[in-house]
Amino acid sequence: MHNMWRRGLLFGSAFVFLGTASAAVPLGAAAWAAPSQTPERGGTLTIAESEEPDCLDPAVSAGDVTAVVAREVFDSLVAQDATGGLHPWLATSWSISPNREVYTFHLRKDVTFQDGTPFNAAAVKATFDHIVAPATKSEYAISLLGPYTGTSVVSNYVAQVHFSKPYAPFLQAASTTYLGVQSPKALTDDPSGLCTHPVGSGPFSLSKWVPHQSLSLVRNPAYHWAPSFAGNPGPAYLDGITYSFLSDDSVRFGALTSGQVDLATEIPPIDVSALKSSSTLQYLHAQAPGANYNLYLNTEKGPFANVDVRKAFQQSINLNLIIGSLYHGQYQRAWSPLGPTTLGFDPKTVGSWKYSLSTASKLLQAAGYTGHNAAGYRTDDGKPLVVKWPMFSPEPQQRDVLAQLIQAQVKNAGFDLQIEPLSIGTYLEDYTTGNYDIADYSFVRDDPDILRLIFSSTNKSKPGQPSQNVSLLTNSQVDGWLNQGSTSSSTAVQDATYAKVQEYVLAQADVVPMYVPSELLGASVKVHGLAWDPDAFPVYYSTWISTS
Amino acid sequence: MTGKVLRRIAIRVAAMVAVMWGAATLAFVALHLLPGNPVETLLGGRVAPPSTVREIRQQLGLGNPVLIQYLTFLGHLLSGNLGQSFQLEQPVTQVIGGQLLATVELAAFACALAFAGAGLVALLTCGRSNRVLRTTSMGAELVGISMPSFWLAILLLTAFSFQIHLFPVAGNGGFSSLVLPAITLAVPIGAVLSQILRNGLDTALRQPFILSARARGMREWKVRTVHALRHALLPVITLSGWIVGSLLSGAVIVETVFGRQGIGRVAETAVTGEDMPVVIGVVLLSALVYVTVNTAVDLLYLWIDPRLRAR
Repeated sequence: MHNMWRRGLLFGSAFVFLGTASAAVPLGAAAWAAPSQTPERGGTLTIAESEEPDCLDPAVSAGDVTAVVAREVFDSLVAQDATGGLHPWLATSWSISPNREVYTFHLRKDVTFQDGTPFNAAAVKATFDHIVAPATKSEYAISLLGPYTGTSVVSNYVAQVHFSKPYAPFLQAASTTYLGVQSPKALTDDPSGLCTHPVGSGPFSLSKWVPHQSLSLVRNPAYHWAPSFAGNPGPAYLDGITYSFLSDDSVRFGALTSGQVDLATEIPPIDVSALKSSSTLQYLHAQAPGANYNLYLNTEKGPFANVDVRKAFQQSINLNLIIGSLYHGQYQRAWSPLGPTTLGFDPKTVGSWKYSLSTASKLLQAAGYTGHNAAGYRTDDGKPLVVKWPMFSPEPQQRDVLAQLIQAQVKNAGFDLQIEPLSIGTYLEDYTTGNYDIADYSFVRDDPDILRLIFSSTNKSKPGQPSQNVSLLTNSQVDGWLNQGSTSSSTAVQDATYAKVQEYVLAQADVVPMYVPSELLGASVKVHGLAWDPDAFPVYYSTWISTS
Repeated sequence: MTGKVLRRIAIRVAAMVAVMWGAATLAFVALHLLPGNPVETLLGGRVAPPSTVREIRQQLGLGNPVLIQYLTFLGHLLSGNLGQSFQLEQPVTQVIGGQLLATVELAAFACALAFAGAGLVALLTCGRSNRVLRTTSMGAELVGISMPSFWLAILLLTAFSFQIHLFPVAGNGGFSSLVLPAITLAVPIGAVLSQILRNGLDTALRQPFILSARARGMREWKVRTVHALRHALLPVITLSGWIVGSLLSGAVIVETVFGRQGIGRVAETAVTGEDMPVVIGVVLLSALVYVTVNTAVDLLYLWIDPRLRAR
């Protein structure tokens, strides 16, 4: 399940409500950067990858690693650059009806899929219809299509995508791997084999997948339709890419340091200094945009229904100390629920809340927790101050250890924090019925409208329908700001309203941000042209290996 | 007498079927007793749109009474249908079948290493052997038994793959990639076997027939290998079930650390991803292997020890 950590465990149908087309600026990521030296052709990039895709059909799987691998195999209609700008890719141009219900795409005429099928409007229709077909059991892509009603083939190279209501985020959604265009022949010929035999029009095609061991891609020699900003008009420089699936951190790192692979993903923070001091290795790092790894406090019931108790909890955690020591400075502590590379991140949140045990103590006193029991926990009328944190187990990035550190810290203020590692069934039951005081997750998406998913009263998690608003916030003021942000076309207005949301939820301690999830890569210095897509996923199209 | 033996075999096989049926029933009960409904459990945290949920409900026949669902489940099992993996979108039989050979290969090699190593060590250190050698090997065995596999794996990798580039870190590519995983898997098994074998050899060497063999002028090495070893092997056969169990459970760790294909990896992925159809498939496969081995061992006793046949 660890492949869910960035996408977030719970996505539900919330994307239907996404309002704005404005995209994020991942400041820390250089997107698809053009190589600075003259690239050399040839060679196979070997990668020690921490996770294995469950299914390579991006219409089906929600996994991050699926998006990473499938990005090399599938092209999208539009491409998003580092600053959030949208560019032609498989579509040369597009127009949007005034009511934003119909998107018309004019398509490239010179693209063929890896199985020789020509790319045309019928392929677009087949791909989107495949995503929404019940038999596909789409986990995530279907939510990116929102209120999709169908695609009409206007002519061979003109496709019209229809929605039942205005759907502004569609262009950005269409740039994601999840809506990558698939070969219509593959979709009809072998519907049950799509997970293992993906066929797209991308720079690499699948050559061999040995389950639980490795996956090999080979260059698509015909490729010449990359987005213009990719800096490489022709086929990929690499002959191919081989992923070895090594889930053990030290094995992955050892494989890299001993030269058995060119690149390793998810470098353990403790090993980063060794990487940096090596003359044969390089360290690459990108902060993921979207919602940080945050703790959401249940504002509806239990002790955290009282704002003073929430504030006391927030202020009893010495976050600088525990994030710094646990992650060796490689993950930045978070100040806002939004990551600093997300558009709309409010810089005023930095330093806006502090660690203060004395304030926490005063707040708890005021909230009625005046006594102490034998174990040292605060009590109200003899009832101890217990807060319950069900955790989905296993958690990535040592979040279980982080939880224990927090547990030890808040004990000083008198909180009896009870961590319950749960399997998915029990966890979802607690999560959807509000049977928790703390819920935690992170969620990658390069759009500030992510705040709406997390804090809008229309997106509260409820029984049978897990969703992202797990602080269970119902606040008309916040709802108002979120609406204003998503309907305004002015960046200044958006920034101002999203800043208000961030400041409000921090002041009310509805959320306690923890750290900024980041991708830590290690690679040989012979590897050049490594780039990130806007979601901070690595992209290997312009990557090359120097022989000298 | 043959009739008795045949009846005994028949009883054994019937018991085997009963155990398998029990395992299948337990798996079915577990699926329905786990918190959350079976659809959520089967989806393993993947939050699916209502259309998907409908699809799964239909596949499972969840609209039917539990008894009908149970009988359908058993019927599918009998026809070799273990259902569909939700993680991999493939039939479970295909998921497991495709990985079986890799584990068999690893387990067989590890087993051979464990027996060869344990046999050699026990023969060299039994009876009135060199005291220092005997004490050293007993100490090493204790370390071998106590050391967690993943730690041993990392030590071996650090030494023979990261420092001296003798073996590759990962993969199923040929013999060289099999060596370190097989050693990791063999060490704890070999350490136990070596203790048992030495113990058996020590006991056998005190028997009168050894004395008479020696009196006939037989060389010590031949006394140990020809006469004593055969006696010492008997308790090892009793341990067969345990050895198979160790190989299966060890494979989970070894295959994960070394990035190898195999049933252990299938089990690990399925358990962490809560891919219940695959978990059930692995459970049933393990049950089948255990039951088969134990039945075979029981029947083997009849062949080895004629006194048992008479009863």
